[in-house]
Amino acid sequence: MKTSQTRPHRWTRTAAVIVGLFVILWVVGTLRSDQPVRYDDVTEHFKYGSIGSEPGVSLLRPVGGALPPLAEFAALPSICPERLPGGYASLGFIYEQGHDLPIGVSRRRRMGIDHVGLNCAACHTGTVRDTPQSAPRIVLGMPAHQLDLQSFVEFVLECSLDNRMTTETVRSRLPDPGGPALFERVLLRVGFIDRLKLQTLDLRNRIAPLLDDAVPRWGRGRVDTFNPYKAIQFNWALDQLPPSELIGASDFPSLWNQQPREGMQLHWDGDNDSVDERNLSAGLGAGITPATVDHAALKRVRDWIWTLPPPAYPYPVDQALAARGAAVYGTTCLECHGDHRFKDGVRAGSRIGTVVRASDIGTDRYRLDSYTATFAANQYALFPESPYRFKRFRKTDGYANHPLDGIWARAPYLHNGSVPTLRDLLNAPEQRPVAFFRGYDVFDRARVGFISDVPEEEGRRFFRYDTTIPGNSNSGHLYGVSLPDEDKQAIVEYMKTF
Amino acid sequence: MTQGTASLGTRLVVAVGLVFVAVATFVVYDRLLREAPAPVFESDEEHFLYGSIGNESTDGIPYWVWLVLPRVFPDLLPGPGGYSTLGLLSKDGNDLPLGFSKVTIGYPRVAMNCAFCHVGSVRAEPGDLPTIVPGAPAHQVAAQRYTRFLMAAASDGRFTAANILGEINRNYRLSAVDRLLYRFIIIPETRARLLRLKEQTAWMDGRPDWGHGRADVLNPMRFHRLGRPVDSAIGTADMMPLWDMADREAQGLFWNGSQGTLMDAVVTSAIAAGTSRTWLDADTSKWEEADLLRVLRYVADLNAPAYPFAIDKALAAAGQPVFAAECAQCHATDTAASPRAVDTDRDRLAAWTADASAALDAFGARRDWKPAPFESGDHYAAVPLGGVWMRAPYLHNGSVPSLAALLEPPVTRPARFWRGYDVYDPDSVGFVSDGSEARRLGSLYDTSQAGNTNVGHNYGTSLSAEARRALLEYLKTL
Repeated sequence: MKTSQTRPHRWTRTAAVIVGLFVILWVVGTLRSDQPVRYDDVTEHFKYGSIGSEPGVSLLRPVGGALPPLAEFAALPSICPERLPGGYASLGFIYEQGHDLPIGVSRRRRMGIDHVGLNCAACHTGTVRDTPQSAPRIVLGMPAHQLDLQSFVEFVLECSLDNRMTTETVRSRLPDPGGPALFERVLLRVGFIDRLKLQTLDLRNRIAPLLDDAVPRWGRGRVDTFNPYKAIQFNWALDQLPPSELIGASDFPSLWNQQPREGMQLHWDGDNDSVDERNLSAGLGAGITPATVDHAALKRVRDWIWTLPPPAYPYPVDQALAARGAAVYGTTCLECHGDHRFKDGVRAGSRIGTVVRASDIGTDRYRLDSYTATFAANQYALFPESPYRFKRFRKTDGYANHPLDGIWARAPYLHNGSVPTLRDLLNAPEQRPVAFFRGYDVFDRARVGFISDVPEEEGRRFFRYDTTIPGNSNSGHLYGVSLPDEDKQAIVEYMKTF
Repeated sequence: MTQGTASLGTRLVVAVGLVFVAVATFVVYDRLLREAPAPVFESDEEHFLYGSIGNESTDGIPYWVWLVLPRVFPDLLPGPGGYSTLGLLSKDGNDLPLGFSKVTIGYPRVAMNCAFCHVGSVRAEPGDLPTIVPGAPAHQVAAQRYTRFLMAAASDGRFTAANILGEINRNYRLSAVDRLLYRFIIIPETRARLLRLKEQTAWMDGRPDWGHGRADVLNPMRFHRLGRPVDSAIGTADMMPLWDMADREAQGLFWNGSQGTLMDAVVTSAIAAGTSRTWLDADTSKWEEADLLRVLRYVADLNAPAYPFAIDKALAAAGQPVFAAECAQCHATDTAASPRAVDTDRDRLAAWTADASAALDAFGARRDWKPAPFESGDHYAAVPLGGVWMRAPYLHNGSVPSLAALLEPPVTRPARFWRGYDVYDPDSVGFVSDGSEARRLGSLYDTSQAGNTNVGHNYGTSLSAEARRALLEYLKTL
């Protein structure tokens, strides 16, 4: 009697303990999980692979990341439809057949949650169309001149904090079948969205002064590289900096052909001469941290862009004219910018990859002044106690002479993207367009650049770039402006061969 | 039989217990106490800038805590920019500012060294990069604000293990054992230590702020290191240059010329900066290899920096006889007879007392490194003027912003100005001491505060305008 009562009791207890142990093991194992979606093909890795920019380290105090997890990220456009009528694509994100996420957005399961993150391709993949009716060419490594990163960030922040963003609205939008695993579904029921909002609020508060109306908008194809970093990595109160320091927007650069760039002064102001350090620094902008970066994945991208050739000009080139242009270019431009052979690794020109004083080059100063010696001093403590620690950043006093490989695909021109075409750049500043539209991707073969007088296409609005506002000046870089028109046209033709 | 099993069990428990205790002891020793050799720097300059002077065990802050404090408490700093906003300089991609050493004693710790007070910066224009001058007075450093920042952080409700570890996690992945140690021992202990320091330094609050480029090294030495009772003395003075030391040794070191040899001055300064007796013992036993000796050798070879801007040679030549007539009697290095200025602010003289001198003597009793006893006396030394252009502001308490102002009678010298801005003004020969940037980056110096008066040193104040102009130009050449 006695034994028959205790036995089932004891069995239940043992079973409970075993189940408890399994639950603990499951939770611990899940929290420790860190699995990116992997791609064998390196171009797929570049487009969709994770560099570790998804949040990690701790569930309660997550580190890094710029985007909410996959379920929320996917749900946002339908939760706040009026804020983003055309979905992420309308901001310039590129979608390919067979992919739910656009190029530049990666997936990784960390701490049991399906996270998304930005990768290099987000800002470094562009589109080019031959005519309004043509399908876009997707050019990897090209500046994402069509991407409105600021509006994207603003949308994600505002919609994440919107009242309509709730556990219920997210759960009702979960894909069926598919969707998050059990652990994440459990979290969703226990305040996950609230915690996400707190995190979003912290991020928004940090960068709010940059999104303020007082700061000129970045617009399509541009980003302020260093100011967000001051707030996100170092928690500086941006509103206490001199207001002019918050104006730092500049064009996305191209990523191809990095090998011959090693040792040159990189970034627009030439503040770093190490390709690897520059890459890692750019990764911080995508949301990696020293604690969450996936160095191996980043190395894969690095090795690929090391020798990635610049895209060949896709339209016919008048070879005779180009040959004539080469001669004029040789006396006007080569000394600073090298020539068409840079794509094969030939560094012509004695001043290529070096900095010209801002007062000499005369282009807009704001980007240069937004990078300060104080900021450089703080950067030296990034990636601390590791072989990756930043050592090569230096404050400079000008802008660097960049090589021009694939220059046809790098419009608009100058560091702040203030001149729409190469032909315009060869005109005196007074004759360069005062205002134009950025982000339209139909190519202008005559002037070399994108057609810049189209304000809108099928509901997609392009960015009106006003050269009269601070940070946007199209002044300076007067090289070649006094040449005869035929010579200018010849130089432009020659530069198509770069 | 049963007894045997029981004792086997007991023995097993005891054995496991012993192993556990041994492992725990080792972990505690290894992660909290074990002293790793300090990093060795190739050049003497790097050793001066980043090398250890042995104060990490007494004053060191855990590196990871130190690294993230400006990010957890940005509002407690003068502005956005981390430690740089306190005037601390960085260069060549080093993760520590100049004047900080990092040594692992259980865990990496940082502490200040000689360069904290003895590296200066100068710029011609606001947009320029600063030129860093090792050995120059750190006129741009807000030393007291640095200490107060650490203490304010420790007093703040946000100074919790969770907040600080949360920020460390963004930068580095500590091991599980380290996380536990930081959470339960290192972070709480750091907080407790900074709060004790706050209590110890409460005397500072009743006295005028040091501001930029000045420090009171005598009072902390007396009250903290030597356990003397707190009195009302004010020992605040300008940080000093460390060049032309042979000339300076001849005049006597420190502002009042009280200490005889350079080695004694180095050891005394190190003790003031927190260097422990045990470390000094160990360092002295390394003889020629001693770390402090390496600092001394570096400093002994430093020459005054040349004036980096244009000099009107003819005008300077005209100023040479004026200097010979008005200044050389005290300030020329080849003049043995050197009367001393006694009419400037007297507070600094009173801050080194006979009982402090005796206590320092006892502190170093029977040690090879014991500095010769020194007393304050009733005068300030007439210091040699090498690199005087880079030593602004002037007088021992830094109460006069420029040489031009020093050649004015005290009543017309500026009563209030800003210290700490490193843009140079070649006209007045000194750093720019007013204007929006000087006010934003520097601190207000008010000559009406105790210890801050700009009286005395009336030499040259009655010169004609041309003679003064010529003398100023000549002083740039020193």
